[in-house]
Amino acid sequence: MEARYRLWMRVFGGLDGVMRVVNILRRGKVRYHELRVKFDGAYASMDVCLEGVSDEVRWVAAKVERLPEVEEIRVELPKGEDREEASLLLEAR
Amino acid sequence: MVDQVAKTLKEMGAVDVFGVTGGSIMAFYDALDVVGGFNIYMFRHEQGAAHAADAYGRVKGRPAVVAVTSGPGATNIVTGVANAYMDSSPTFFITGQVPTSVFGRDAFQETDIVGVIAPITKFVYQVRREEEAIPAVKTAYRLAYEGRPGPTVVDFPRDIQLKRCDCRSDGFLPVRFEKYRPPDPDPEAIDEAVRLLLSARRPVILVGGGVYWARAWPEVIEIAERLWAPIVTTLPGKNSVPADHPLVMGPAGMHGRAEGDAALANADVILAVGTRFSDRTVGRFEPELREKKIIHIDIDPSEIGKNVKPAVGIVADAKKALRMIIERMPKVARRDTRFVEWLLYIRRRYEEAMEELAKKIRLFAPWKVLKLLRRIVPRDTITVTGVGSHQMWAEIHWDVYVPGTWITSAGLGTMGFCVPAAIGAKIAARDRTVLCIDGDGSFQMTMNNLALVRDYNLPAIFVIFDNRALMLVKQWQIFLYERRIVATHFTERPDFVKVAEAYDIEGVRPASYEELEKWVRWAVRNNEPIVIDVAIDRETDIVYPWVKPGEWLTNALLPPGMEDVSLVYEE
Repeated sequence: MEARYRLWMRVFGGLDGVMRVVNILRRGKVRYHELRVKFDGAYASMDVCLEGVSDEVRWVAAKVERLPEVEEIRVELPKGEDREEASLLLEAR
Repeated sequence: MVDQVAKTLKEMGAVDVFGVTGGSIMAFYDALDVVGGFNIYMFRHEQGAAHAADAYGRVKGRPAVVAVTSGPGATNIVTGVANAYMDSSPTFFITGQVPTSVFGRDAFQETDIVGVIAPITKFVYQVRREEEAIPAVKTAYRLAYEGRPGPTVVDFPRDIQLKRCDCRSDGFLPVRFEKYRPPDPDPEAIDEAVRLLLSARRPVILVGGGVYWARAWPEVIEIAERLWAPIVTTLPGKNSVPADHPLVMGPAGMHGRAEGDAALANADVILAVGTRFSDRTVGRFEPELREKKIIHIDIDPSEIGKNVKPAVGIVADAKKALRMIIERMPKVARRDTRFVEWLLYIRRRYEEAMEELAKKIRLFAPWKVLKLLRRIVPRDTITVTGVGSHQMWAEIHWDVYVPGTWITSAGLGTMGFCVPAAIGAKIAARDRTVLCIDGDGSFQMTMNNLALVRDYNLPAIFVIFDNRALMLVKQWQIFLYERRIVATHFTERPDFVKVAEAYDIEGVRPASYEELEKWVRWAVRNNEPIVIDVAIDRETDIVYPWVKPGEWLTNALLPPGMEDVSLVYEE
């Protein structure tokens, strides 16, 4: 079943780090909405809304998490949805 | 600055440097000379340096340093980097870059190599400030082998290379290395895996290249023996288990062994270890694979469920996970031998059919050449292949006795891999015999690197399966494109014996198996390099078995003489 998820990441490496994350996102079989990036000088906070089946979202999240540039990553469902399910997406960690 | 980079590399033991120098990297090469203690190997093309480093990393487990200049020097490594990425090979690259003052101005030999290479690297970093240089080099070098190995790149602008800096070499970039250490296996998942294995009627173990990296072949064999379960490999997984173990059925897939295809196709439970379930291994994912219960163990969480949804997914070091399975499994778990006996019957029938086929073949039969070579070269010979029909013949017929001695371009399928990879393997293991099994098309793509054989005393044996065709593509043309042979036939040029002579290497074109044997023995005995041009008939060089693209494994095209053999098991 398809749902909307929000992927949040903290990334170092400036625009190059952001580009590396986007390279992974490009290859996921999901739809994207609302990509936002905010720099604090050293790190970029990225968040993006992913729409697709949970297996595909899990693959994207796991692949992004493997990037050395990604210091932190979270997957969230929109408010009111099952947060436990979202945490399961990164359970493999 | 580059002097400190060189000192850092030396401290880390990274003293073998492969590459081609140029304007934006010559300061680094100069520093290698000033600091001293480095072995510099001058390749004739950067792609060759990259493939050599790929093989070197697979043999040593630690990367060599590939150093190339900016622009074309950097773009020439792209295929080598992609190859290392697809096959998870520990490789480390330093690319020179134009000065930061002219970034983005289309300066001479400027390429945005970070942008080009970002999707095919485990890590890439462009040094913008001198104090980043040492941490970047140390981080990238370590990341190349930490966890699942892969290629890493540091892009180094020329002005930064030349800056003076009192930087100390004790820091890393802010990377959480601990995330590359695999978690302990989940005990509940292990229990479920054991339950599935014990309840299986025909359990099969599918072994990928990850088993070699985890040094987990003793555990694979122990589980197989307890369950009397056949072991099937992927193409890179050939590197992970000894082929002469009675339960090893060899590779499955597009050009797998008939008994390997049959084993995987008829399994009800598959214990898959260190593999990504490539379409080349399983033919197709649906519907057959969905009906099987799959236990998938991998160090990389992004591999679990990527291509096949497992019943049990275990993110862990393969050795640890398999050891836990063994500890929770009864000593004598299962000994029904009928399935394995049936697989061995298929093996026998296949070998008999190929023996008969060889009698009808003009010139050399590729599989007989491989069996002859295997008899002669030492058991621990490092065998490298190119890409093409010769590689598929080797997949089917080359027996890997010692894990870690099989090097092939599996994921990317890079023609031209063999010659430089053999050179890299020889640099990594000078005391071992290195055999390059190549095709004429593949050989021509990188044969210029033969120059290094005499330059650095790297005697390897190069056997060219010479059918003057891009034979694997031609096979598809015959079967899938109504025999329209387009752009797959070569002319008789060049003469490979003369090419060998040009590089001061013995070159021979044997007329018989006896003559072939004589020359291989000569090369092994005398530790001499040799190029052997083996004539193969392009009109009859069809690789059997063959699972056509999108087909299921039991539909493998088998050789003549096996018409009465089905790969579907009936109890």
